[in-house]
Amino acid sequence: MKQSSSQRWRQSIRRNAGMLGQRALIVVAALLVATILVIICGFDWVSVFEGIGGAIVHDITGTLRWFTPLLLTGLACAIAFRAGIWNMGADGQLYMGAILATAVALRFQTLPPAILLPLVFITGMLAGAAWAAIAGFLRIYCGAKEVVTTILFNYVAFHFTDFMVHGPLKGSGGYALSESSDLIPESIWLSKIIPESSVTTGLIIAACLVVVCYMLTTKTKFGYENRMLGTNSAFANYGGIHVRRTYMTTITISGAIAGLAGVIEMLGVHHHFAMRFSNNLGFDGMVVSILANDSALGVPISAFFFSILRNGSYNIERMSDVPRTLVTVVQALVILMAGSKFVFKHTNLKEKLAGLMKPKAAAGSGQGESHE
Amino acid sequence: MSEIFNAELVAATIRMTAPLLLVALGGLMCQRAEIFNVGLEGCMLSGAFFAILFIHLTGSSFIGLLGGIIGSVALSLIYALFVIRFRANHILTSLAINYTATGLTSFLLLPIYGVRGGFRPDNMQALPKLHIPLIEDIPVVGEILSGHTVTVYLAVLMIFVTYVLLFKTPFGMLVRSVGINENAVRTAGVKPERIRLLVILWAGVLCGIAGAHLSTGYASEFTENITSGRGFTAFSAIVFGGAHPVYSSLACLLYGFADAVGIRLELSGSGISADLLKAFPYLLAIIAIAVSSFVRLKRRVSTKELF
Amino acid sequence: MSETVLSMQHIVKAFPGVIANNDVTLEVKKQSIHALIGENGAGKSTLMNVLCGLHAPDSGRIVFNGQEVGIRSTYDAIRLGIGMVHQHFMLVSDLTVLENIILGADTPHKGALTDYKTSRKRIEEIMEQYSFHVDLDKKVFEMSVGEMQRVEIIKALYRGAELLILDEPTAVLTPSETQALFGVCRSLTAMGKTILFISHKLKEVLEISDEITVMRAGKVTGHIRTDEADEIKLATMMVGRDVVLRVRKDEAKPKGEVLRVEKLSALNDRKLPAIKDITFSVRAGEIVGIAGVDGNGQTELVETLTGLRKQTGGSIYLNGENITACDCLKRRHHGISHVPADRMVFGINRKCSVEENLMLSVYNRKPYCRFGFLNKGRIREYAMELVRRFGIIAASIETLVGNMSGGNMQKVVVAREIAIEPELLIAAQPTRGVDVGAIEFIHNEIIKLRDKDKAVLLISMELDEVLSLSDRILVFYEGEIVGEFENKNLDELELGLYMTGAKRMERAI
Repeated sequence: MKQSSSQRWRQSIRRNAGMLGQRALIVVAALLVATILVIICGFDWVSVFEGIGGAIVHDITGTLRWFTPLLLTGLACAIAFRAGIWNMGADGQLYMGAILATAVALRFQTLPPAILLPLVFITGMLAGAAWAAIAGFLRIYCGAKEVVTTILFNYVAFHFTDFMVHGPLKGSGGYALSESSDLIPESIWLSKIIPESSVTTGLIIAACLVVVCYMLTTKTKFGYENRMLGTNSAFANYGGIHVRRTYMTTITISGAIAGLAGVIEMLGVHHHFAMRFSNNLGFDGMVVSILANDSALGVPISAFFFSILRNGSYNIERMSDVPRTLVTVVQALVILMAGSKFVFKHTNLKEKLAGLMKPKAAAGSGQGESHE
Repeated sequence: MSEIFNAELVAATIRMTAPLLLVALGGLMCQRAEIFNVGLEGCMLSGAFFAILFIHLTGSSFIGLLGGIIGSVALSLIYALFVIRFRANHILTSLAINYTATGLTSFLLLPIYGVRGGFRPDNMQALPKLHIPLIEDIPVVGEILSGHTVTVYLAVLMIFVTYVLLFKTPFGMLVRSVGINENAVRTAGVKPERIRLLVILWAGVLCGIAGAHLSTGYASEFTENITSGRGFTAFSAIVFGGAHPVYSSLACLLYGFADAVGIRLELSGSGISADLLKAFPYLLAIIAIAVSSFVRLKRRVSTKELF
Repeated sequence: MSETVLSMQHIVKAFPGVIANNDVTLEVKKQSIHALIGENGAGKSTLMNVLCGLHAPDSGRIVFNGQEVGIRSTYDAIRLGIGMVHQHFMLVSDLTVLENIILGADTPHKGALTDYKTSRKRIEEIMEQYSFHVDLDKKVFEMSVGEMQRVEIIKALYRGAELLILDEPTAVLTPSETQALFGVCRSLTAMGKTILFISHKLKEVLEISDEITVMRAGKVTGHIRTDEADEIKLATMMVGRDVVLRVRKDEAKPKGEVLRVEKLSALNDRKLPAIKDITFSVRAGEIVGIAGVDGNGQTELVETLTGLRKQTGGSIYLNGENITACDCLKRRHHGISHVPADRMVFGINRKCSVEENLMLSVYNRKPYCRFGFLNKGRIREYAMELVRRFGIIAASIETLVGNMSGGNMQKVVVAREIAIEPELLIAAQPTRGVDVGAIEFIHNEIIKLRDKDKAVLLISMELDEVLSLSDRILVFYEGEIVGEFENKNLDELELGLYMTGAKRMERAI
């Protein structure tokens, strides 16, 4: 028993190391291509790396500021992608969470913080969850593909939140920015864990959520059902897994986490709802999840990498001429290469296997008859 | 009300609709061939960028238009390569295409023009506006129909072209078949991959024109993210209209109209929310998709699908 | 009538692990209806795929219309005048009939536009000539299966087919549609066309064909003129066995009834009746085998019993409890386990590990799962025990199932379903695609389960397997049970007659 247990560990480490190595390779390759681009364009490539390095060495707090929301949207996407659900609507869910949380925070500001704060959190998560659940509902009962509807729901959410900050939640008086709500009561702002920065208790919440998601995906019945749904839904159904229920639960959790990301951004960084504040966090969450191979433990690593890039990009622009949208190019390369992993598996190995399997099945009895 | 609903509104609606229309008409061919292409946004952006670049280099707006097409098609080729040759995931690849376009077009502004954020060439020559004789002189109608950029007329023409291409030509028949039963096409002696490639490239051409229209017809400059989600809007118009050239065009018109009215509402300060108005077409699209999917679900013969 | 139009000589086609066609020679006379019959897996489809350009033969030659030809693609076959009507129609549901017929590389066009007018005229001429009719403007999804088949035939004729291959054309047809098809076939040959008719239904073959070639296990076992043939002769050629693989087992000692099925009906994927008012039972401690040619409702029966398909009538009892309304999961909890025939689709999850595949049948049961949390240690022990007990060859339980051999995959499925010691095991094709050693092992495991007083329902297209394992045999034909036998001194040929619909018995239920 002991022997095989240690064997198992070794193998598990080897496999995870293999995945990490492969992902590291992708990152290096993406950075390399970006560097070549920088050199071709006649920029000073050293300063680019100085800028990125600076994001860790001199300005870790700025990196952590981005780490929190990317971690959360990354988790939201990962949990959905694991189940084969293309939730493209993390942005919309984030906005719905943030806007309703803001509304509650402003409407009930007289409540004691001990009540108001949980209320705000719950509202935000419920809003995100509900927003995602509608798409899930449409998929299950109407067959409308979530990959399309969640994109559309994003735009509804964008315009709805625009409406809120132009209308019902329009800021006034002391904080009369034209396109944002009033400041929420300071009593429920998330406290800073690093002074003079935007790193708040939100980071701790996000970190806890990583652990929760890890447990959920690897240690529970739900995690197993979720993975079976994503890898082979016919298999799951045959084994008695409630495919529809798993689908709904998964997309709802995904929405709730995205909603939470919105709440934490609002409570921790902005302290009010600023119109279109998300700055593509939802889509970047998808990239985080793709690089992390949809694994809950991979998401922090991947999110950290992208938050370094995001923060570093500001440094780069400050320290040199290089435009910070270089980071977007790196992201594109990462998606292409991480996506190509499927590619090679699919075209070569899988096809070869399929080719081998088919006639074999024909040998056994009559599979070939009905297949060809 | 009359300061909102007037001839100028109709003209503005047409202007707003044109780029959506071009993208949607290209994209719907992809949709028909079962290619999930939301990389339209990126292709359009690339088109807008290269149109300006070519004008900057040559000073001719028509070569600019051509440049826009080249820029967009180049990106489409990458998409086609990954999706068809490597069988990569359509969604991820479109996402990568969009990121590539957003990143590169913004990044390259500095090394090429030495500016950030946006660029307007000194020798800027906008795409010509077409003044239709006779019609131009009719009071209201002239204002509505005449004096638009050539690409606007091209977009309208494309509705007709796409319709004919899709429903009246052998190629269109193949496109419609590929998405429904790939094997039927294969056994008829045609490679489905070839059809898919052509369709993606065609979408690239139209996105290129749309992009060029934005930067050289509509705005006379390139700014970062000048497309601002129009590719996604066009995509929703495609699914809204069930990938039918006429219905999807009408959907584009609805989006264009909502935009045009929205701007006027904001300016007029009439108290009606422009934002809700803009959200409305998306809601409608969701309902339309839900209903049409539901109908298809009920029509489906096989009982094997899980949900 | 005597001129040979097609001659396939000494065709050999091997796939890894199996010779699908072993020195097959087939001669087809002009203007005849030539039937090619054989069990599933006899190699008929492979031979036809060679003929229409989907497979290249390893050796052998094809002579068509007196000339040796090389057929490298479907396009080549079409140009030569060989048209195939596939069992699964190659039609586009949203297109009209007209469009479906002219779809392809050679669509007639005027300038850039499709020339509907000319093609419509040509198709109408063809229909006139062979005197059958379909509405050209109807869309395919609105049509019945019989109509679709006619569209396929017109499509082949439109492309100039001289030789028409009909692959199991009656499998999806109602009796009246079948008669209509036969009418079409006769008028086609009257007009000079030749038809290759693939089937395993003897009655039909005897009714429609002029000549019959029989295949078994990749070889031609007989060639006969239809007027000299009868069902018994054909059945002998078709199901005659070289070796019967018998498994050593004790006499069954059946106990109480475990599964009782009463008047069960269900539809197939095309919403046609697939099983019709079936009544039977399986007792504890016995193996009931279902024999029958593929496509006679066995798949639908299995799916209905396991809850994957909705029944349209009747009821199912397990140990006296009515489980008709239960879903998949509840039926599993009641003690039904299922080795599915379609292993690649849902029997295993290729993207997951051995452990994850093995735990499917226990993951939500105590002690493997408590309060929603998986007991990973227990599951791992369980998986490792199964790997050991069933001799699954894998580097570890973390190995991806997709990387394993077919036999090992099947062992994973069988292990998972047998190890929980179900009240009722439904085993469909439990040894498909598995090597001999593994077959024996799996058979023994099934018998062991029976000896533990569990009930087993075995569905197999291979008569050998049914004969060697079952204690009692039910014969399926067109969704009905046409025969029931105790498996003692059974005459295989007799069984063959029931399987091919030549004979049926009235059962006392």
